[in-house]
Amino acid sequence: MAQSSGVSESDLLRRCAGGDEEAFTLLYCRFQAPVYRFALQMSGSKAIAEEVTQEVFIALISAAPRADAERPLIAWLLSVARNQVLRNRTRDSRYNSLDDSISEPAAREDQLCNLEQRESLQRLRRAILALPPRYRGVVILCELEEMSYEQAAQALDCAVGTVRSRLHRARTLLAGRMRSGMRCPA
Amino acid sequence: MIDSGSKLDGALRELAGEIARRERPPAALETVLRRSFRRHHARRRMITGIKIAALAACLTFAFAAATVAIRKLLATPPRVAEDRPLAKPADNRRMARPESPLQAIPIRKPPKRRSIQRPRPRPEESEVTTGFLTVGAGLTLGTPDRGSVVRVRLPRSALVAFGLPLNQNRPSDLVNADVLLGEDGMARAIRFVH
Repeated sequence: MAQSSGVSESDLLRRCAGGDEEAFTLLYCRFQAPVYRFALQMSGSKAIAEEVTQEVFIALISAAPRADAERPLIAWLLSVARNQVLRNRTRDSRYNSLDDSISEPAAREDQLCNLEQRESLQRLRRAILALPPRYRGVVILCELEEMSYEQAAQALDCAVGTVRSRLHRARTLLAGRMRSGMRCPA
Repeated sequence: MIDSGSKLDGALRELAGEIARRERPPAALETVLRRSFRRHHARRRMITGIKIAALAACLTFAFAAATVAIRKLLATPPRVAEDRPLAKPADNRRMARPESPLQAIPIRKPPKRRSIQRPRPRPEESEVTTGFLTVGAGLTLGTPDRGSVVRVRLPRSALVAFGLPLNQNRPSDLVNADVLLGEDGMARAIRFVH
């Protein structure tokens, strides 16, 4: 895997548009993890997350010549990923079949050996997947990916205020579900 | 169980760390994407090459067509009547169908024959005659004080009467003859004209 050399996004995009495979590989290495994790948390399925990640970077190959230099690339990639996940959910039965897909924390490697903590993480994961898509996206970007409100707003194509209000509503829902110990529907 | 906002924050941070450590796309995905990248740009280069070739072909064709048209235009001189006085130019000029969109070539109509004034050559300059032959028995030419020469046309068969050869194929054709008339109006001599 190629190492990112600290080259700016705009330079990499320009080289990528010109057919430089090395530049494309650097972009992929830089952004493949957040795109994959976002797709996984949104869909709850590894198979869908892999498909969405592939589609997002194939879209990048075609769109590199027209890339907007003003907008951060991660916001564009996550926006495409969100649209792909929402498009797939209506036609794919694998969507939201989370029980067998998401990796369980390995009891041997994980320093959290407390069963209760393990179960509470699983419960939280399921609660996030049970949220409506518009709340799930803000929780994943702002809480799990630790993006700023502005970056999340660009990725979700909405205003910063909308992100704040949705995040507040999502946290309220999560807290309620965790308190009541509800399991998300299959 | 989580029952407060701060605990929710803690759980979310813990979950974020867990996911960041464990969840990654498969390594084969990078190989697939690099192959797609190469294929995409190879297709783009081919399309660009086809467009350039098509443009070059169009330009070449346009240049060749223009060259042929210009050569044709230069090779066809305008028609002009030579050694003939023209009548009124406005009457004889008409616009020819243009062979190229560049310009219409005016041509001149040849004038009618009637208007051609060609001087007639004098008879004595272009005729061959026999000598005068006497007409009638016992008459001599003498030297007439007054007389006249009359041009007549006789059938060829008259040549025989004066001992001249006759073309048997054309006995009925007419020939010119000059008849010398005396003062009394009687024919004194005749000569044949060719």
